[in-house]
Amino acid sequence: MKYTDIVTDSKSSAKAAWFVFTLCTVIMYAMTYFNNWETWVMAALIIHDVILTVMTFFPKIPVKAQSAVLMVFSFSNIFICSIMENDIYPSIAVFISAAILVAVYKNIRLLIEYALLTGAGILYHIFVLRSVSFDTMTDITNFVVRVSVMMTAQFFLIVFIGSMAKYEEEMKKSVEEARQAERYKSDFLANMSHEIRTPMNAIVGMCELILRENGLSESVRENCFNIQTSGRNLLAIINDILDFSKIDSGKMELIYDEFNIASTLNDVINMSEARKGSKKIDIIVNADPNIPRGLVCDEVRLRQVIINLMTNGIKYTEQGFVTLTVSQTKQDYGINLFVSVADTGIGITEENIEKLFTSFRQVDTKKNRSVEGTGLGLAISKRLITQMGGFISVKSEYGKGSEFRFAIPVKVSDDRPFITIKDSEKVHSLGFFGTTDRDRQYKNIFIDMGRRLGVDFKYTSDPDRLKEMTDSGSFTHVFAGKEEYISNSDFFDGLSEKTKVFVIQERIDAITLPDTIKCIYKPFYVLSVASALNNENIVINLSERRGADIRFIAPKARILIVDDNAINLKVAAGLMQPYHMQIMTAESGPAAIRMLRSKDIDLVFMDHMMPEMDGIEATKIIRDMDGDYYKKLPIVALTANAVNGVKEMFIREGLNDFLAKPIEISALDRILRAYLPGEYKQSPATAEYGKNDRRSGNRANSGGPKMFDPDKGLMYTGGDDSVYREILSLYVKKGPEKIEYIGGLYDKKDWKNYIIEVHALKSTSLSIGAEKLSALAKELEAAGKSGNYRTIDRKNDALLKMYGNVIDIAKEYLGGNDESSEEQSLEDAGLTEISAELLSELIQKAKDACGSFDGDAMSEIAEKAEAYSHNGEPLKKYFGRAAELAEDFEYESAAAEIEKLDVSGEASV
Amino acid sequence: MKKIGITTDCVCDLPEAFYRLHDIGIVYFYITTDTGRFRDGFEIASENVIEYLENGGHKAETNAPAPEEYMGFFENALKKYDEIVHISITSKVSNSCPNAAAAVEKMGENGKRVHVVDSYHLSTGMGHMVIKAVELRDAGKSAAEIAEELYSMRERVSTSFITMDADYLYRNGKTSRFVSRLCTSFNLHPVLMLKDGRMTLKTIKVGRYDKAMLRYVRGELRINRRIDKTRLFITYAGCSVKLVNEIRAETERLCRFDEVIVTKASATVSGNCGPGTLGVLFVYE
Repeated sequence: MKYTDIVTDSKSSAKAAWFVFTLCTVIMYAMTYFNNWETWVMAALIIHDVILTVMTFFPKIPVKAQSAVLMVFSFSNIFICSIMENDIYPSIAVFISAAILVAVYKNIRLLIEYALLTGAGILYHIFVLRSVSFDTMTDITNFVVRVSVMMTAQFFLIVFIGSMAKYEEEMKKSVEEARQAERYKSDFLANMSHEIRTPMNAIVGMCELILRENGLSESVRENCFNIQTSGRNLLAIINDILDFSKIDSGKMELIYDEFNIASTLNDVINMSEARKGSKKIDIIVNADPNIPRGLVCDEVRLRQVIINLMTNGIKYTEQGFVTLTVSQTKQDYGINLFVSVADTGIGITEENIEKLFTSFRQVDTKKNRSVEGTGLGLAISKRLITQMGGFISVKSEYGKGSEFRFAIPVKVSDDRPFITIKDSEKVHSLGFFGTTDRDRQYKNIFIDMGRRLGVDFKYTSDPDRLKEMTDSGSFTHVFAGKEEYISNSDFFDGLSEKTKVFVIQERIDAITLPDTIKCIYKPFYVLSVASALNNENIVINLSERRGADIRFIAPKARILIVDDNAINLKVAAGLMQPYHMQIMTAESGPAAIRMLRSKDIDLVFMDHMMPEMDGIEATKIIRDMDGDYYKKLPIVALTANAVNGVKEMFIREGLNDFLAKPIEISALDRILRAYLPGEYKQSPATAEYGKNDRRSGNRANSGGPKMFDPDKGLMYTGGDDSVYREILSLYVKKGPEKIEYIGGLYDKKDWKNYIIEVHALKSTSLSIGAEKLSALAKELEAAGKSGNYRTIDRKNDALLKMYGNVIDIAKEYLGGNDESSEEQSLEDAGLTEISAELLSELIQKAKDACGSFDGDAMSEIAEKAEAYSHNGEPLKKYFGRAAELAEDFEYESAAAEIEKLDVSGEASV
Repeated sequence: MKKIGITTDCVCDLPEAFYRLHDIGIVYFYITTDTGRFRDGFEIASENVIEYLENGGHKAETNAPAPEEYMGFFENALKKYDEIVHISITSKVSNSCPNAAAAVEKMGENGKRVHVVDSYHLSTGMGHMVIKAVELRDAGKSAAEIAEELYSMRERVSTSFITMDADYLYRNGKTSRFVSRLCTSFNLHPVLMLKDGRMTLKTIKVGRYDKAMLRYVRGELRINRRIDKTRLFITYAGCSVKLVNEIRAETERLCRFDEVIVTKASATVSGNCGPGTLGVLFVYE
């Protein structure tokens, strides 16, 4: 109970006492009138009641004073009543009824006062007025019985109310103690978390510095990366505890600022995709495009809650979907922003739902034993939503999934929709998805999206109907699922000549599309569709995303990416990686400004929506800094704002251009071409292969990077050129034999072995950088596994042809030579073919060295092996790598490397 | 044959899956708190409103949708159906029915295709009538016939609740502070019922609340030979799952229903009756 409640209580009691007193007074008026009491009594009673009324209702008079006056007047009234009436019982009855009424308000003092008054009245009648007769036994019995009953009633009332009041008092005390303990706990957690966070930051930071160093061995890099990842995870937990402690102790202050929900959605999706990793679940996003463009809320905390819910959904779902729905309802004060995260995960029992939002509590079921977490996420989310004035709830069916929803009141600063479609009346879209549960979800989202965008969206899952509908040529955009595209690829390829065709697919397992067909990566949602319909150059072909079309690199260019979201920074930096630029990152506007003081940044990518200082504010500060450098420095806005005219807005604010999120390579390429100094740009060939004329020359004739990309091959084989070339030689050598073998398996319809072979082709092709061939092999492997032999029939020839082409290109790359040149090169290197006995001996020694954790011995063996080749392969490849691993204490991996050598003479690749 | 749509207010407390399964249109009520206005059951749940009020929230006013909103809702539904039967919460405790009727009036000719039925009940008492309407629709009855049948059903529906005390009734102006204090001080638990559409005090249970609840359930189901055994709703707000399961077991011991459905009360009902409210709602034969 709060202090205000207690005050209200005593005030109420005072009013109740006044009411009872007035009631008694009214009864006494009646008695005065009917029993012919003296007239001064009436005047006295009126004066008493008026005084008490004033004291009760005049706010400045303390309750205690009113109580004292009440006591005096009550005595006075009982006195009057007693002297006017010979019979004691009416007056006692009046006060007993009053006592019962007062008991309701649990005012023990008032009850005792009434008891005393009643007792005094009885004594007054016995000894002063002598109105009580004790003449007969009946009189005495009557008196004793009546007084006993009254006194007992009074006594029980006092005891009962007294014990209740005491109980309440104890409860209040206990609650206060518990709250105090809670505060101590929160303070302790906050202090402890802070103390841990400081050294953890140092650990994570130092790891970052180590990782930036060149020349680290793979295992050191991997170990360091693992330390950093674990450190980050621990920091996230500590941050949760800190947040929770802050909210719990009322120290969490929300920072309300204007934001655009597009930016929030983009961040949430990036984070969710990263959390999802390789899980076979679909993240589905259904956002209302009519949500106002300018909202006022603590966006950081809002995002935190949505990410918490999405992370939970992904964590507890092994298959199916995690669906994020964001919508709004208009209100007088702005809108209610409604967010729902539904999953098809393990669900929650009703008993556990009751415990769900409790802090430090992970719902314990047999099914989630493997799920890690502090159990604070939902507790924090709930408290944040409550602090924002909203409500969060959950619905769940055990074994089927859960839905978390919340709604918060949000003010609106700009009520135009956050997504608009250019010439929406001219857009006619057709969706073509299958009939699975997943497709139905997409269908519903697709139809809903069209309705909300005010665009004509039609839908079919029947291929014949699709052909019929598109024949009329009335559709401007056609969207198809990946599977549907694969089943009707010829039709879509033809259709794309006259209509814009978009294929929706996962980033992982994506297929390569013809140049005329565009790709939309999942999650398929309103922002990506709006970009497609608006013709923004941000939805592009898969091959572009993979960086295969990058026409220049700029190793000298220094780029600064500014974004408050670490995942966004990683995504952006990852996309820029193929340009070989020097990438720096900053997680806030002020941090970016500090970094720019060195004046050595050539181009800045600035996130628009950031807490504390947004991109525009940061840009203004940069432009106001002293020196020409800051006036001319190209600053490009990063934004998820999908509204027309956004570029003009950024230019007005002092930025040079904008790059839409999700970032796509073609748009990034345009920006880099436009804003990087010309002298920094080099052609990839001259830069990368300039050291090796033979290779660079061959690359120019290699028939295009889409088919064969040595960069990728080098990357996949650990970056060692000699190792890569050895693997490639073997690939070329075995190729013709394999083509014949796969062809034979296809002719015999030996699907089991065919699948095994294309599976092997998939990985070997990927390891040499033949991604296109690898993707096709993967597709045929999947087709074989799912019994879709028609696809194999259709594409087997293409696969074998492409395999042949890759071999030819690779041969050219190697110097237009085949085995003879390879052998020649080995001879040139002075390597001699090792005998089987010596090889066997070296392998045994190497294994022993690994088994006894003797790195020096392993190095000696590797040195000895360097002089030999086996089956045309230099032994250095295996022994050298094993020695390196042993040096990094990775003895198991070193032994595994040696295991790859088969004494029979076949080396596996 | 005409396509008949069944619509109702969200306060009929039927499970969401049931609305989806039988294609029942729902009109949302609003709960206005100190921070905003939220749609009942969609943006704010039963436990939300109770928790909010228990933690010092001052205001949780419940409002029926305005006639304009009903108009939009009906006109939208009429795009899909030829006629609509709308089952509304009792007009004696809410403006919902008069607002729906006003909307129908404003709709002119189109309004004649909407039949608004004043259920004289709330919560799953009203839910029983919605289920009946669905059954009649599926049996091919016309909208007028459905409405007529529902009117005759009103008297046979038993809607009652036991509340932990009268605190929430006092907060919502349904009773005085004194009565509320009286109930709290002497451990009195009012049992409320819907009689001719009005909410009235049926009886008062005294003593420990869990025992009082069981006594209430026994009292309600004691003349079980007159009860239609097809379906029983146990509707609650702010009760533990354990307690609800105990009540369910007790109902099954007392009377064998074909189906016992446990539902949570809407935020509107919860905000008016408070935590610990529970009702067993059924239909007499």
